[in-house]
Amino acid sequence: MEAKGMVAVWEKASIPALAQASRILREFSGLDVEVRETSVASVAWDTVAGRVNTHVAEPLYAVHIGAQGLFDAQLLLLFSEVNSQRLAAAMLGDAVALPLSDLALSALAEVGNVVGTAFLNVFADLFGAVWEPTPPHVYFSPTGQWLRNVRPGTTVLVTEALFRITDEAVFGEIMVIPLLKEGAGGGSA
Amino acid sequence: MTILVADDAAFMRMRLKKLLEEAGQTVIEAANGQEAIDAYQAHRPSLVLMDITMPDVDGVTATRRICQLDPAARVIIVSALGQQAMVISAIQAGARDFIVKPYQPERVLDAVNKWGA
Repeated sequence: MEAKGMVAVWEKASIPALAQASRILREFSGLDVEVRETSVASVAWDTVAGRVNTHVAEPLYAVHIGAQGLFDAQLLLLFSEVNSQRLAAAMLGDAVALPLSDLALSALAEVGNVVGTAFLNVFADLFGAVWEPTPPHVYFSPTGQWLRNVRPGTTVLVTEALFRITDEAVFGEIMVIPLLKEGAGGGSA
Repeated sequence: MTILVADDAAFMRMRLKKLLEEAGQTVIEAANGQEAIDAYQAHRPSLVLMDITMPDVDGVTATRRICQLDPAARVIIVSALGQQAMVISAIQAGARDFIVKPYQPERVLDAVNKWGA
């Protein structure tokens, strides 16, 4: 599939995926969650960190999930430190301190697991294929440091979704990054 | 009844353990598929609640091995991975039921009552 066609399909899939992810996050956290903004674009990997910086202030927690299927992908849920604290507290039903404890990190990772897998489930239904996720990992680091195995110059598709969790004022971002293989019409920037 | 909860997320094990213990059940835990297989052999629990996405040995593989060890084993999958092909794969591996996360507590307790009886 050409990169342009891939973007179109991905954009179409992202709409129900984002809706499902926000619904699941709402059910899971008990908070009133809504998708505030989305965009889909084909960008050079080198520019991703800059895009993230426009939406999410550092420092941040990144929940990372790898996915293998029709094509490989990586999913990231990004939350600022304070909003990660609020989300973990909502999940645990109790106040949590910074830096996040192992249990709070586990709660945040599970949010990533459930929301990220909701994305994969929608894509799987759309493509009639199976995507298997890797266990989620939480990274706490400057932007651009959470992904492994993404070569400089690689072209990736980025789905950005700004979640607003009302009352709690938790803002985050979901990035779905399918890795376009060589010969897919967009293997390198 | 003794129930084995296998999930790599400590947070999820904590939630399920609290739910099940409040319902009067005894819970043992495993943090990955291999631990689940080992714990099943050691304790022979009445029921297993099994996640799919876990490091080392995944939940479908662990379910298959447990059911090979004990064809009467009762394994319920509790996973966010609700893709149709994955559900079929889990059932073929021997799982009796499939609960998609995030779950309603009543859904878990109903399944426990149904398959643990």
